[in-house]
Amino acid sequence: MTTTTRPTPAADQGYLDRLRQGKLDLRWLRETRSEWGVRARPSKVGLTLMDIAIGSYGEVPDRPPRRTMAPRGSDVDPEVPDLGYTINEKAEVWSDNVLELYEEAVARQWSATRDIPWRDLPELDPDLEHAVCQLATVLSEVEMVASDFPAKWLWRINHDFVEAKMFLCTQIMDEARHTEVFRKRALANGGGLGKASAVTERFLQLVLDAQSYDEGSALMHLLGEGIVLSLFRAGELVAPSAVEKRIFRLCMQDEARHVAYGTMHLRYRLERDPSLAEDFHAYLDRGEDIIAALFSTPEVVEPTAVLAAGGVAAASELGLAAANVVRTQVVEEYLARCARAGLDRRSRLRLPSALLEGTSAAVPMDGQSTGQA
Amino acid sequence: MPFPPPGFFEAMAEAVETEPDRFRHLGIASLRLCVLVEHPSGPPTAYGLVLDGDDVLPLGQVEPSAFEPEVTVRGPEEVWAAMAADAAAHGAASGSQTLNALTLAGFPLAVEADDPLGRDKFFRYAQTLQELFDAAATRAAGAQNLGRPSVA
Ligand SMILES: [Fe+2]
Ligand SMILES: [Fe+2]
Repeated sequence: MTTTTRPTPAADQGYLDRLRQGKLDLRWLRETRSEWGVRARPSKVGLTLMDIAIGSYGEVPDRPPRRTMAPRGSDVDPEVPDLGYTINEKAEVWSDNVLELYEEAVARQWSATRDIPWRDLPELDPDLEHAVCQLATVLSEVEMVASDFPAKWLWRINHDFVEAKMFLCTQIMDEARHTEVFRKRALANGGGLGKASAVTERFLQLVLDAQSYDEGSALMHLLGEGIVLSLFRAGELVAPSAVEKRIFRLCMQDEARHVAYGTMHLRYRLERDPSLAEDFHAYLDRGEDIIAALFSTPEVVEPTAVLAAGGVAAASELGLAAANVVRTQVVEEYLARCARAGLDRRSRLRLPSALLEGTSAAVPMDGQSTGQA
Repeated sequence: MPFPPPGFFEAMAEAVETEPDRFRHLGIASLRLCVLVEHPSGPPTAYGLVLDGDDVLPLGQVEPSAFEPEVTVRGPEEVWAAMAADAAAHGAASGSQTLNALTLAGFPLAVEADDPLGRDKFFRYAQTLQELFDAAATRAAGAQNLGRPSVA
């Protein structure tokens, strides 16, 4: 193993002399280039990132001149070292809603320990408990990739994009909590963990192995989390008790923030470089192929169908019809987000087209036949 | 059964005022929501609701084009009424009577938005909206039982 020796900054003899003389008067700070007199005003909920995005402090450079952790807007010592950031273009990580999403994320944190009424979990029919636990197993499995992916790239992102980095930190915490809450649900009512599938792992691998933040973000924030958001919506509908319903609603809220970032980030990226569209199509081609396979794995499909039907007996008829309408919704919402981001995926879609065709007729129209309580 | 019962949306603001810890814990929000009630006959009625930080502002009946909602939830009056009755009876919406469950398939309630980001806000504030509707339903029902014209 080789070690790199970095030069130790030489002590400033003049300053040491002043220290010895006890002259601690901030004189050295007087020449600092700063916006002396800046006074950010708190808005209704407190002092937000939007409130402090004022003057030069609110200006985020498209290509920062340095690669340091020096706070954006500070007077930076010209001898600061290069910290080796590789994501140095604002459009690679930015989105126009990222400040608001950070504030919202911080204000809307919840506790999987305290905010779920675990003691109210009812005893379930074994088939339903199996189904809930299998769904919880899959979700506990996939959630953590949405912590791992931003964590993998976070240290490479230039510190001048600190608000985007801070938002990704909230996502890391959110996903840890999602992993936690589904693991807790699997272990809380007698079922335990179910099966983890290779297909699921292949999608996670695709996200983790992404060669760029662009690729991983499109796969995760837009495709994967969009689908998970829809899965949470479906989970809330088919959940067998109020406990799981609350779990799904709270997770849904977090997931929609991540998707909002992903959608607006891709839009920001493509607006500045439309030539990247074909790259993003290629990333999503690969991702959709695996998601299409995921739609037909027993680990995901059957528990949802069984929960929707209220048991195994009716699952083949009612559950599959309900699962189909959910999948149609999933695909339509995904296509709408892609379009909002400036990417027309409809003609390129690789998710099974059958999901888009004539499934609603097979679904009960009274809205009462799915979901139990 | 008519919907909304008297003082329904105003009861949301009252709930936020009288149970600040409960709603502050759910966190800040930013949303312009239109609740569109379709009657058996005649034109639908639109109600405006604004979530602004920790505040909830019921705007009463609105003209949707002037209100400019980010998201509209539309459906028959009987569906809205059944949802409110269920929440009032159980203290919170149960089974397939939650806002998410009623809207998931696009029926019996439909979530509509020009912008998918607006549509996604309906999910981003799912728990907040559910608790506001639950609180409104229970409070409005309680006021009616007491013979008061409104909880506002
Ligand atoms: Fe998640
Ligand atoms: Fe997420």
